[in-house]
Amino acid sequence: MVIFSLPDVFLRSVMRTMRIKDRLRLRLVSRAFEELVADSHAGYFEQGHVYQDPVKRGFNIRPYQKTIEIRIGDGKCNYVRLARAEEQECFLHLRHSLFSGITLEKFEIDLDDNLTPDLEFYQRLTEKFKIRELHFDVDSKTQLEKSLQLVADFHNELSQ
Amino acid sequence: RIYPLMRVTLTTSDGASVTVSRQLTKHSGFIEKAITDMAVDDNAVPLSAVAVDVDDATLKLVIEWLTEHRDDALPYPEKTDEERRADDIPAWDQAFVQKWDTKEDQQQTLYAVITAADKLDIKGLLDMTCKTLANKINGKTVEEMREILQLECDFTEEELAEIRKENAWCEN
Repeated sequence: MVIFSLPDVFLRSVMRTMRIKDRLRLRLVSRAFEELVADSHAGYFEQGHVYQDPVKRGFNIRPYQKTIEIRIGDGKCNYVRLARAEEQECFLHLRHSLFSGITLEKFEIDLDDNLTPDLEFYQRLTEKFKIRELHFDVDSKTQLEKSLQLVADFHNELSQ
Repeated sequence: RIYPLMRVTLTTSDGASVTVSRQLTKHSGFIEKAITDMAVDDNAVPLSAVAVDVDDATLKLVIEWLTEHRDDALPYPEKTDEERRADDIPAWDQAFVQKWDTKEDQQQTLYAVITAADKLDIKGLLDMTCKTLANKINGKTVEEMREILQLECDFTEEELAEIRKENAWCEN
């Protein structure tokens, strides 16, 4: 008997208990597991965030670097460069290869005035996210407007 | 209403039969439905026969687990969205699974019990085996995962390199 002969609902229950770091490794086990990882819900995690300005958050980053920190559950991506569209596409590809949905108790987002990456990136990043508390850290009217736009998008997705 | 004294004879897929108390079989949605479908009078008919698509060796393990859990509350609590713990397996259940480690192929035994729990619709046993399998995988290397899951790598080196490159976003 092989693992993929077990009931599908059982395998999906197992996948809901996997940490993001285990999901990354499971992608490398076999083609069937790569598909199961991408096509299964990641379960519940306490928190996630996108920090546009890690220095403001007390992280030691050299000032000439424009990097972002993204955390989803226990999966943490430090010093992510998302200035170019190709970089954003690569990152979103990984996100969609890791799970089909996720529940987060709290998700924090920083936006910057230049809005790099753009709103569409955030919309695609958080597709199929169920977030109990969504926090924005805003310093300007522009950021506030964009934050409200994202909140409206979340409501639209939830109501669909 | 469940009549604890009522006995149920289970016929296995390999032709064996075992008679157990209804107090045990009440945890199996499949067996309960089969008895209900027979529309027997619990008082008048003390013995019901149910055919199960599970072999004798696996059914013995299932009955051992059911015997320990005969007093568990029913219905089995529905899982909430927040539940992701796999480290809360009761001590008796852990020892129960550990016993299989002495068998030649413990992973096959685990898969057989999972399949039986699914066929017999025993939610508590399915939940416990789900956590057991998750605990075996959690925190392991890719090679260890393949060994535990008894899977061969069917990627090419180039494909593995590509996935490692993608994963690198999250492993820096």
